[in-house]
Amino acid sequence: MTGKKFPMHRLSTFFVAAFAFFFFGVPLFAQDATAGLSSPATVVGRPVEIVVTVRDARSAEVPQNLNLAGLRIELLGRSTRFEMNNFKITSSLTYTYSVLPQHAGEFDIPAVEVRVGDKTLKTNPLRLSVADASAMQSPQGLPSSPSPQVPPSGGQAPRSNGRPYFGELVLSKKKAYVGEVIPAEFRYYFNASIGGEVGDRPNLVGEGFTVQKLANVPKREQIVNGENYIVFAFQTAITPAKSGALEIPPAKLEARLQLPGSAPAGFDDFFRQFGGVAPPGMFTNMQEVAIETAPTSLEISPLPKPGRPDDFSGAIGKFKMEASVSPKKAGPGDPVTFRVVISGQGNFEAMGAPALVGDDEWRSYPPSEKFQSSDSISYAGEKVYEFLLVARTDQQQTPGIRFSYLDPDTGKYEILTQNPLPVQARAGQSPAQTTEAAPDQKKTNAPEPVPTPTPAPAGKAGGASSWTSILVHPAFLIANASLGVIWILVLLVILIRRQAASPSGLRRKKIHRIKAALAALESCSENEFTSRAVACLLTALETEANPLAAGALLVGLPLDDQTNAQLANLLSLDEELKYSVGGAKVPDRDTRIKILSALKKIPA
Amino acid sequence: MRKSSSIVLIAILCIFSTVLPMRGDYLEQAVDRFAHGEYESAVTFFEKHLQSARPSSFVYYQLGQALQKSEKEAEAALAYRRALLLDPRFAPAAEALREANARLGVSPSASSWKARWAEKVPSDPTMLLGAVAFWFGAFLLLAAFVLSKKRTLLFFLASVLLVAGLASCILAAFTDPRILEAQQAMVMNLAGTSLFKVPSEDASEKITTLNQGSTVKILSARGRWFLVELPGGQRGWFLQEGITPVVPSA
Repeated sequence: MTGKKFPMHRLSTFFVAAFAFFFFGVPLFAQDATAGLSSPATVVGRPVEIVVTVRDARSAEVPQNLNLAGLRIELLGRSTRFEMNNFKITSSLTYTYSVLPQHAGEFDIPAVEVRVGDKTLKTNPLRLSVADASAMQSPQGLPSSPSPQVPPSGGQAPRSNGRPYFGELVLSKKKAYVGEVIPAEFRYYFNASIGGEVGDRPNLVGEGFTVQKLANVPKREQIVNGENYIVFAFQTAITPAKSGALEIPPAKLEARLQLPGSAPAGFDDFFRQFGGVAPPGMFTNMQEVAIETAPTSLEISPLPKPGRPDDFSGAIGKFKMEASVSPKKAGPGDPVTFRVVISGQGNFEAMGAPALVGDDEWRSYPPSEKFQSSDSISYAGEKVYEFLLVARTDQQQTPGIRFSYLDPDTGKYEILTQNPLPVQARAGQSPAQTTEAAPDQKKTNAPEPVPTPTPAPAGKAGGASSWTSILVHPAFLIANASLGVIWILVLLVILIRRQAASPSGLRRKKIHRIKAALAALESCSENEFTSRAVACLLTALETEANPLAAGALLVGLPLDDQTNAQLANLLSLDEELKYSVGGAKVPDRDTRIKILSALKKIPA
Repeated sequence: MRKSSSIVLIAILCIFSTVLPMRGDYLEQAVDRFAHGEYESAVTFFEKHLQSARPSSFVYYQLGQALQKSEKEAEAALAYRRALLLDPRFAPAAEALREANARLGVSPSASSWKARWAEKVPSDPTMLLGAVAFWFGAFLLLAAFVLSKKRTLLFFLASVLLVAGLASCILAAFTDPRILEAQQAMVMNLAGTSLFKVPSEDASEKITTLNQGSTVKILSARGRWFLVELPGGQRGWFLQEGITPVVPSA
């Protein structure tokens, strides 16, 4: 050993302290409980195991059995395991349950409650597929459940051979036909005790087949040879392109794993002092590895020739067919949509459309097609074909429909037929010559007549001459806005005039006039005072036209005697001014103030 | 000075004398080329005419026929659709569009009451008449305020005209195909166009593929992508390349 030496007494003190800290520090780490199945699928009568792992706990309580109809689940035993990774000691308790399926079906196993001290932990729920024993015996049987499409190794557990990681390719069958879609699953197992990072998806390159895009399957736990493994799986579909032996090469998945490694220089000497070696798993190294599946051979047969229907369009699988028509009544020349749905499992992407039968009296066009997959690998689902049909003559029913496919289980061609559906479709009375000619000419190569554009029908060549509606045309908007403004102005004028003619308006007007007259009176000369004061009084009494009635009106006003006398005096002064020869004398200042005060007291 | 201004004036007159008849010439040449079976050339002249003149439903219909003869079905369908936007009552265009859609494998869309109304009643005249009736009613209402005689009758007449005019305007606005289909676009790619859940060309995000000739409603745009709504209400993202707005951009 040529490594750097450390002073031994200091080093031993340090390690004792480190051991004590990590050992007693165990309960500080987060505790959790997980559950895994030894196989996600099995058959009736064949037991599988549930392994419940409780990490970072030294003791726990779990139920002795789990009650679930159709499954007998009993606790088999318990084991404890200590691991040390880069000075981190983890202890885990493992409880193993035996699961005996009693009938077929999909079972959701609920979370197992684990009591650790005062805490109650719950594991993840599990799902177990149980098939009839007979169903699993058929080597070419398609999976009964829609997902996953790939049989779970036929109930056979994969073999780890003690490796911490390995890959496996699971195919649904070993014999197939050219063009048949074979569901496949690439599985990569990693021992639960190792950590690391796994690549995005495996790399598969080969000849003589095509592969669908790989679809990730949720990570799961699985017991392999008594060890707990994390399984990363990728589903896909393989389609052979030629007959004969087909070799599926290994599919590589890149990963960076924390694998057990050797202790650094100097550490071995330390452990040797205590008469031993470093515990396994205490030191780990990050390594880049490529996990490969084993190469697999398939036997690919050509499509059988005997019994192949003339209209066979390449469909291989198991299919059902349904058809509908809409609308049920179509006007002259209107098309009807004949909808055909092919559903099941098979090579949907490569198959051709079903054939119309007895469609001589219909004009039909190549159908549109739309595939809706119900799984991640486009193996199961339904494909919808929509034929547009236009009746050449009045029709009471649609054409029939026929679809043929190869059943890979039996190796025989099957034919699905659909009888004509009732519909009322009327032929177009005068289909446009130019538009109808096009498809027919393609078929018959008939000489094309010299065309001319169809002339504009009388009275129909109009329509709009702008892409914008008149609603947003500037002229329309301006005209409407102008009319709106005019309307508002006229309305305002009307309202103002009506307001002015109302009693309150008149009263306001009168007050205004009196105020103006009083203002003029206050600022007028002495000589003009009497005539202006009388004018003001006549305005207040509203008797400008008949000044002689002012005296009588004055009597009726609710005024005190003094005010009344002042105003009567004003009237007599005015008469004196008008009718006396020498002219009346000008009222003195006090009299003017009194008259002004009396005038202001007249109620409006 | 006088000589140079005369030259400029003559030049302007020459330009006008050549440019103004050109518009009419394009259409005449297009019809002439069509009659002689030169459909692609006819398409070019129809398009030139439409670039320089006001849009016309009949010219779009003729353009559609020329495109159809040139075996450009999707473009023909677009031209017929544009002809129908301008004049929804143009029956030959409707028939030609139905046939073109059938050849493209596009399902006919369900006819709404708005479309049926637009086929019967022209929008712009309805809008104009409605506006006239509305304002006549509005001013009659003012007259009813002012006049003292036959006030009830005037009020009644004004109310009827106001309501009828307003209803006509609203109906015309709601049924005008140029407003209704302002956001419509047509798939022009020969191989159809893929609809994605998000604006990314990741195949795993693909929802479906629409045939050439299918129509969608554009909701918004982001970079090279359009957020669209299919006739069934499904939403997704389309690449802008390969889809053309039904109403031509100015």
